[in-house]
Amino acid sequence: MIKKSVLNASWDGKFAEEILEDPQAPKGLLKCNQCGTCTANCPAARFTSYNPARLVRDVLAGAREKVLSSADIWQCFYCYTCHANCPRGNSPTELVRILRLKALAQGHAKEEVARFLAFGECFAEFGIGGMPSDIVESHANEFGHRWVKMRLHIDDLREVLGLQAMGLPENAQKQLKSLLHHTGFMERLQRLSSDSEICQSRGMR
Amino acid sequence: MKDVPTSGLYLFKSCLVSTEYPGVESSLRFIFDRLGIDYISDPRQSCCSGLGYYFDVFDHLSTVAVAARNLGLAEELGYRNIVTLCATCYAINKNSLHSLHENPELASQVSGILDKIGLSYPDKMDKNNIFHEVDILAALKNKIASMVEIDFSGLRIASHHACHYTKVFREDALTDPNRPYLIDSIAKSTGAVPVEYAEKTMTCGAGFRQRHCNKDLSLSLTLEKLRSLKTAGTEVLLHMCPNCQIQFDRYQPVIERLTGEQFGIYHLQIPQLIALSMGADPYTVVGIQTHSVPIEPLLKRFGIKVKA
Ligand code: SF4
Ligand code: SF4
Repeated sequence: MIKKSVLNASWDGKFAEEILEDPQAPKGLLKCNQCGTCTANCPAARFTSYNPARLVRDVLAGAREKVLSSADIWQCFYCYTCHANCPRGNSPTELVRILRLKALAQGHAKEEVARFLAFGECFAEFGIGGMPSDIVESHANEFGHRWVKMRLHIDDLREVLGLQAMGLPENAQKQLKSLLHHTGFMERLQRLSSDSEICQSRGMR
Repeated sequence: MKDVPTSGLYLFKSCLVSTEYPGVESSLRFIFDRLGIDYISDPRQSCCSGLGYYFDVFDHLSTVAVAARNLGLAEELGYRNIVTLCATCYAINKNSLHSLHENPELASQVSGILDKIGLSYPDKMDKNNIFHEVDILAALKNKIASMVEIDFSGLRIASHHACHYTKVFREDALTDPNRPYLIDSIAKSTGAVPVEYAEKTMTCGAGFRQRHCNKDLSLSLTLEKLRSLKTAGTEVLLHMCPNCQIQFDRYQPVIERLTGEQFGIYHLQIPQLIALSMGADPYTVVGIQTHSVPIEPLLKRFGIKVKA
C-alpha cells in the first residue's frame, strides 16, 4: 500500500525558521542529521509511538499542522537525555517546549495544561506552587492515610525539624505578585483557563 | 573542574522538599552546621516556578523574572553561591542566568521589571554561581568521612542521578550523565557500598505532567528501574531531587500493589544518609516520618534508636 507522506497539504517551508526566531530555540536545529541517537535513548520512544528524531524531521520538513496538533509532543518527559547526547548540538527537549507553547498559543491542547493552572495561581498567591485539588485527591487515594496525615500536619512537622514557616512575608509576596503582573503571567493564566471545562473543578492544594 | 565554594551559601528552598521531604533541608543544615559552613536561608525567596515551567503553564519571561528576583535578593545579601536541594531549582536558576547573559533584550526587560517593583537585578551573578547540594557535599566528603558516627559498611546503595542536574548543563555537572557516580562517591564516605544497575541513567518517570496525565507511562518507567535495582540487590536508593524521591518512595508501594511484585527498597536523599551517619536524629533532623516507605527497619539494623 502507498503510505501517506508527512508532506501533506498543509506544509510550511518557513516553520523551522520561525522556530529559530525564538531565543530559546536549540542552536543546532538545522544541523540534525537524523542519526537517531535521541530516539535510541528516549524513554518516551521506548514506551510510546513518540519519536524525537522523527519530530525533528517533521519540523524541518515544515509539517506545521501535523506537529502542532499531534499528541506526541505531549509524551515527552523533559528529561533532557536527547539534549545531553545530540552530536549536532540540537535539543529535541527544547524543541518540544517551543512546540508545546506554540500549540497552546494557537488554541490547541489547552486541556493539556488546564489541570496545572492551579499551580500558577497558588504560586502567585503564596510564592510556592501547589497542586490542584483533583491531584491532591488522587494522591490521597494512592498514597493513603500516612501521607494525608503528614500533609495535614506539615507545618508542625517543619517546626519539629527547626525549619522556617512556608510562604513569603507579606511585602515580598506583594512584590512577587506585581512582578507576575508585569511579565504578563496573570494574563496568560486567564487566557489559558478560558473555555476550558476542566478548569471549573480546580482548586488550591 | 569547577570551583566549589563552601562559604557564602544561599540555601535555596524547594517547594517539593518543603512540603514532601522537609527532612532533606534540615539534614543539609545539620551537616553544614556540624562542618561550620556559612549559609543563609531567606524567607523572601520564592519557589523557582520550575514545576510550573515544565507543566507548560509558566512562560520563559515569567520564570526568568522569578529567578532574577530570587538571585537579586541573594546578591544583595552578599550570599552569591546558590545551593539547591532539587534538580529542577538547579537547572531553572542556571538556565535563567544563562538566558539573561545570552539575550541582552531579555536582560533589559527583566531588569526593567525588577526596577518597577523596587528590586535590584543580579548583575554580578552568572550560571556558575548556581550549585546543587551534591556539588558541595562532594567537596566535603573527606571531612564527612572523618565525622562518621554510624558506619554503614556493607549497606548496598544505588544512586539515581537527577536528569536536570546531569543532562541540562552537562558541562557543569561533576559526573557523566551516561555513567553517573557522584552520589555513590559521596555515600562511600559513610562506608556504604555502591552497586550498579542496568537502568541507572533512565529518568525516574515523573516527567512533570506524565505522572499526573499519563500515569501508566510514568509508572512503566519507574517499574523498569525498580526491577533493575532489585536485580542488582539494592537496599537503599539514594536521590538528589525531591521529585524523583516522590516517584520512588511514594509510588513504590503503589507499584507493588498494582503488580504484586515486592521491591522493599528504602529511599533517602543523599543529605539524609549523610546526616544519619553523622549521628542526626531520625525524627527531629532527618524527618523520616514523612516518607511512605518506612525507614525504621533499616535504622534498627545499624543500631539507631527508632520509635516502635
Ligand atoms: S540526536 Fe540530534 S542529530 Fe541525531 S537525530 Fe536526534 S536531533 Fe538529530
Ligand atoms: S527530553 Fe523528551 S524527547 Fe528528549 S529523551 Fe527525554 S522524553 Fe525523549
